[in-house]
Amino acid sequence: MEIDDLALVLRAKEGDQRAFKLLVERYQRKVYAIANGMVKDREEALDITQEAFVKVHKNLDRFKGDSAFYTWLYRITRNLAIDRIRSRRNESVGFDEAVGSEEPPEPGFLSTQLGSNPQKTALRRELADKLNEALAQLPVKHREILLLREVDGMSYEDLAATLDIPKGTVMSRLFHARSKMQKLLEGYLGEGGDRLALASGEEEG
Amino acid sequence: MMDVRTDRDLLLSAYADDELDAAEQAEVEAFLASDPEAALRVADDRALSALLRASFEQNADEVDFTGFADAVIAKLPARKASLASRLRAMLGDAFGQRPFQFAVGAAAAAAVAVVATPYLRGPAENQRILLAGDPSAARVLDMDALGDHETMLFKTSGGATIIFVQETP
Repeated sequence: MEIDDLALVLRAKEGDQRAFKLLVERYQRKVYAIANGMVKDREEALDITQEAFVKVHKNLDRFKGDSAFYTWLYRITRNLAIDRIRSRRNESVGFDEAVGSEEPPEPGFLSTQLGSNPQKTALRRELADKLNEALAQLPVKHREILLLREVDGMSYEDLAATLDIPKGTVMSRLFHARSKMQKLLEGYLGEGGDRLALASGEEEG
Repeated sequence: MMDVRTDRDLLLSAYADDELDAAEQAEVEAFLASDPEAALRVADDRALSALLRASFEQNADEVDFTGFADAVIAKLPARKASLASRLRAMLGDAFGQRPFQFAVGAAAAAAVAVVATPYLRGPAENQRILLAGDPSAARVLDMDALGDHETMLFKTSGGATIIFVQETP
């Protein structure tokens, strides 16, 4: 049976490094995915992932178990990623709640391009790159909510608790994040729909 | 110019995430039946979710995490647990299952230590130790095991510290 996070944290607090190693192994991939989604740089994301775990370990005594361990770990990762983004010269962190002035995307564009089962779509490098480019264009608040929703599968309730925002804000932030992503993808891929068709495993098989 | 976003847009997005309650869901489904464009928006949201999920998975799959946890562990400083944590860990059974017996045993050990130590250490220290406080009110500060010995650290109500060492049974 898998030992729960809190039990491992308690053991790690006692100096049990094997317990902490289990926590690292349990969350390294998720933390990396979040960091990479935020900073869009593999090496930097790995550094952040390592730094996040070291910082968590250093502050274990401050973790009282009031929130989930992963929520705490996520917040540390997010802050480290934001520090990196801020240290870059030309990138704005963009935490304002401005809705933006984007026109809504053409309805059906994405679903039509991706076919009936986009989850089974084998991502081609070009499409993955376009997605990453589009994500990098989003303000951090939009990037992070998409990451938490899609990487971690967080419910709206969990998102509200993790990001410390009301549930209504979760709803509108996700909506705007997706609208912007769709609009950006439409811009990147609109004239080359054949690229998306090529990206589909269904088309190839 | 800011777009005017209606509640319906937000509901459609939340519907795509299966995050609506039954009443809202019924409202959206009724609307979807009469508006094909809205149905396409829901399909787009779901397609984007699936695409992002696949992309994040793929990005993480490209990283080999073999040895990553060991590298993190190697960066950690040696961690000494707090006194309270070590006490809980060492005495967990005694505190958790036999708190009364443990308290009596600890107080008895403190009393023995206070009475015996003057005879062991000689008359020069007698007075200080005997005036140190009520041994029955001694509390355990620390307990540790090293090799074939166990050490208990007590504090009396008078503020004196008692170190009690015994052979491991």
